[in-house]
Amino acid sequence: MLRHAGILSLIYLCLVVQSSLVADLPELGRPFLPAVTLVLIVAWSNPAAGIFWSGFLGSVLDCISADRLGVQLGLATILALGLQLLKPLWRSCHALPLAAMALVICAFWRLLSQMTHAVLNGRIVDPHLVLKSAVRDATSTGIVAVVVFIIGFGLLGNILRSRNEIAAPRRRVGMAVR
Amino acid sequence: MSTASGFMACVLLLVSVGMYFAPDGVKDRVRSTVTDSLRPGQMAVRQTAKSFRENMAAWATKSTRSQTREIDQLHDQLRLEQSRQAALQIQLARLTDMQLREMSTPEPLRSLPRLTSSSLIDAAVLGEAVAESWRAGKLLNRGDANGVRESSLVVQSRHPLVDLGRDGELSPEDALLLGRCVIGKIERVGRWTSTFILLTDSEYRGRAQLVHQTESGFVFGAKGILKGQGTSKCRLEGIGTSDAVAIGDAVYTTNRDGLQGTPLYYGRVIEATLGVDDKEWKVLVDPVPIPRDLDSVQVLRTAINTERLAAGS
Repeated sequence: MLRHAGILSLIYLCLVVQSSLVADLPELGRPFLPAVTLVLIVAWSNPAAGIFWSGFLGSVLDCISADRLGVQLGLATILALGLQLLKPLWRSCHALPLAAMALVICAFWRLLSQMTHAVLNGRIVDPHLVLKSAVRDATSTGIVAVVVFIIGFGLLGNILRSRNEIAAPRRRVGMAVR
Repeated sequence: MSTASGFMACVLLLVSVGMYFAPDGVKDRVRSTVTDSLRPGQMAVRQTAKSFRENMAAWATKSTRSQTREIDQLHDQLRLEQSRQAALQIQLARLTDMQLREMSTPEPLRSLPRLTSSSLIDAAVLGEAVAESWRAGKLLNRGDANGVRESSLVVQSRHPLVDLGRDGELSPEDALLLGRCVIGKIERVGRWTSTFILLTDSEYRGRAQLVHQTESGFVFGAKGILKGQGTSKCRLEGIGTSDAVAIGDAVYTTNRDGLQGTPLYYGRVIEATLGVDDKEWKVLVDPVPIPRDLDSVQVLRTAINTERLAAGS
């Protein structure tokens, strides 16, 4: 329950900051809050709950953006699925590769979002331009992600590793008792 | 990936498709519900950001002001120390001069003490409220009948007071010092208190002389009268066109008006102009800064030397 309450609070905080402070910033300066929140949700919860909360984040972003409802929900769900596949790799990664992964997720979400809206609006999209703008936006906002993840996942990685080290002897003891 | 997570993903994707094709009325209701629920958080975030910006601006202003105040205080201290150093150098030169004269003076005359002697005495500056009460006679519980009323000249004056009068052997024109710098003089002497005027007051007049600093030491220059103007600067008058004046020259009391013959510091020349038709220099002097919360001063008293009176009788 505590974890779910924490995730809900994290989502609410992300959305109020995104829609009040961030909306006033120039487009290139808008931070990565939704993408990083997505990654944190997936890291902090089990697979089913992680996908549920990610979708919830996406659906509320839809309501703020005033675009077609359901698009961000779908994208967030797809991204959360992809993150679940990558999750086993996190525990073996150090903070810097994790931060690079966050940067890639930012770029990928931006790319997916622009491509999807372009297709739904019936526009012909130049894939090079879309990729260029997605990389540019992700880079400008992802730099902050790199800094946060170096600090955040550096700490989180240590916590997870220490939990694994505690859990491993217990499993060995459990097996010995059986 | 577990079955539960796959099932959840499928449900969400179906919901997303449903939301995409939902009627506009439903979409509007959903949007307004979400934006209404976010509104309290948005207001709190904006208010927090605004308070943070205001506090940062106030802190920056405060730290700038305190730094400026600190710098001004350090400048004042530096000037006082420089003037003190200059006064010590002049005293050293004066003592050397006196020693040389004594060595050349015949034996009997050298043993005669001076006619006047000067001494310093500490005095407290009365605050405005205390001074007002003093003038109104509220601080004395005995009236004229016992002869303990303050002098009417002191009572009628509006100038500030020190807590010494005839009981402290003060006289009018006695110099008021802060360290070894002159900041004013005694105006009227009462029984227990005296009024004083500052250098910058329009009534102030004092004999002064210029002191030029050269590579070989201090050189005494022309003498004049230092006058207050009611502003923060004073004017030095009586410097003839044939005398040398330079910006940065120090202004001291004349030899005979100092402490045991040692001149005392007034201030520094900041402006010296000589027009075509002028008969004397127009010299502006920046006096020693006087603290706003001045609460104690020293008074340079000059009195008859009783040893000389005894030696002559």
